[in-house]
Amino acid sequence: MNVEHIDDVLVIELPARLDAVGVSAIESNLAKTVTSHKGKVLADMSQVNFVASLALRMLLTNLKSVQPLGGDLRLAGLQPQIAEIFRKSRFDTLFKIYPDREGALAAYRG
Amino acid sequence: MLQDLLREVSWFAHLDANILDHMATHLGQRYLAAGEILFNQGDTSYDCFVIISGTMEVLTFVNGTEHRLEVYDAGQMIGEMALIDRSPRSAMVRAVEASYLVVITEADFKILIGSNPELAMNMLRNSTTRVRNTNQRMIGDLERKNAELLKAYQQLKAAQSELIRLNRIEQEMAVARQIQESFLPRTLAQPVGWQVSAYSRGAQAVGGDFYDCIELSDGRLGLVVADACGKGVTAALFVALSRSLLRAASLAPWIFQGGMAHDAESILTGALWLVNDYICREHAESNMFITLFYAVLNPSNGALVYVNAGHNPPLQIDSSGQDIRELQEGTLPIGIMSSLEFVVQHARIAPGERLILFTDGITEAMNTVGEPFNDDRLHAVLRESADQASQDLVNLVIRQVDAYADGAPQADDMTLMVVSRTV
Repeated sequence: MNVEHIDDVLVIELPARLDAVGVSAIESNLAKTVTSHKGKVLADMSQVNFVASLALRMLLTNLKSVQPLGGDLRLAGLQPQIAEIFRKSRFDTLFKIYPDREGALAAYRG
Repeated sequence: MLQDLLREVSWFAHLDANILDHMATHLGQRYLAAGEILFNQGDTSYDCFVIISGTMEVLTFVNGTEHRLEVYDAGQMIGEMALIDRSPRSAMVRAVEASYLVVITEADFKILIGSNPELAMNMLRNSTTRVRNTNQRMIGDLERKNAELLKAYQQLKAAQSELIRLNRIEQEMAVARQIQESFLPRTLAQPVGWQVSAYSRGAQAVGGDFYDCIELSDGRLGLVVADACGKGVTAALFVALSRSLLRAASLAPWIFQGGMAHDAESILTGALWLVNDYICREHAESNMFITLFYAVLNPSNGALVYVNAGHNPPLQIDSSGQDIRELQEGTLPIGIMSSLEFVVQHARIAPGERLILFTDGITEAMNTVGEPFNDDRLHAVLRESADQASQDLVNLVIRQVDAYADGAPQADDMTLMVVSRTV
């Protein structure tokens, strides 16, 4: 899990396989990173090629933890099959989703 | 020449010159190449030997494996035990390098110890020390083996209690599984002109999927397929909770009060509101959610009123069996947002058509290289088996998924329901 700061945005690159094993490997670290940042967070999902429901839960948990602090968790770079899962589960209505990292950063700046 | 060499051996240092001369002319001599055997374990020969030069090793065999007991150098005596007690050789003796030994027969030995009490004493001392050393070594070996046995015993005991613990968990999980199976409908209603079949299998002992077929008023059926986030025990607890709430709310007395049958829309939104509100209120901190498809089917005219709460859209297949369409997606799953408004949607199942409800455990079943079964393969099976009865189609799809997985462990719970309108 790569983490970098671009301006005031915490950009997290999520790993390729977010199944039960992949989620448990990053879950607590991600929660700590996100809650200590307290602000704008962007999950770059361009490497992600599989998401289990536990991965959706992990993203939802982090979204719920930053929103009350005035922050946000946005997503970028969803591969087509991942976008399908977000559409069918309607998680696409929970998150602001952008085609790529640059678009998401521009939107955060705007 | 040999007298000089014998003189250097401490055993013989104090012997009279005439006895040394006698020995030098009478004693046998052995030259051994490196690796050559002096005698084998169990041999019945009773000479003993003094090493003039070279190195000899004493070996024994345990379960066919060679163990070196001692190494003797020039000046040391070897093999005197068999000479004294006339027993077979207790070990093998072999030359480590080229060695030169003198042979002392029983008769020579008697002359030697008779001629010089000091020599006799030294020999007794030597033998006693060797027996003592052997005893010490044996005791040391026994103590070590004892410690190893004790450790092995403790490990075995720990493994056994772990096994008992796991066994108990397994028994409890078997009971949990039975209870969970009782949460699935025992029989599925089969209205005239319809076939309803379903199948559910957890990836672990208990699962996070469920289906239901609730018999509502006016012969209507409530069809449910749901998938709690995750799998295993946590998901199973949410299945038990949401299934019970949904069924109870759908059949709650208020639905039938006032002598009027409630419309499908209010059954759906009323029951789903209650389940969603309860889980959001009571279990918000767990961030668990359930994707759920709930439809009220009127078998008399094929009207299908449904809510899709974040679940894989079911598939509607036309009477030719070739046109497969997804029902529309709906709202977020249950358990995320308490104020969620459920969008009620409508479809109609015409004669010859069917509805396929499933969880992503079917389409995301992995093969041995981690590739999913996916929608295309599911659609292909459905197209190829357009004329199958509901139950046969369920069996066929599960068989195809299992064949595709080819023994790869089931990654997620899988559930499938097929509702076919025959006339």
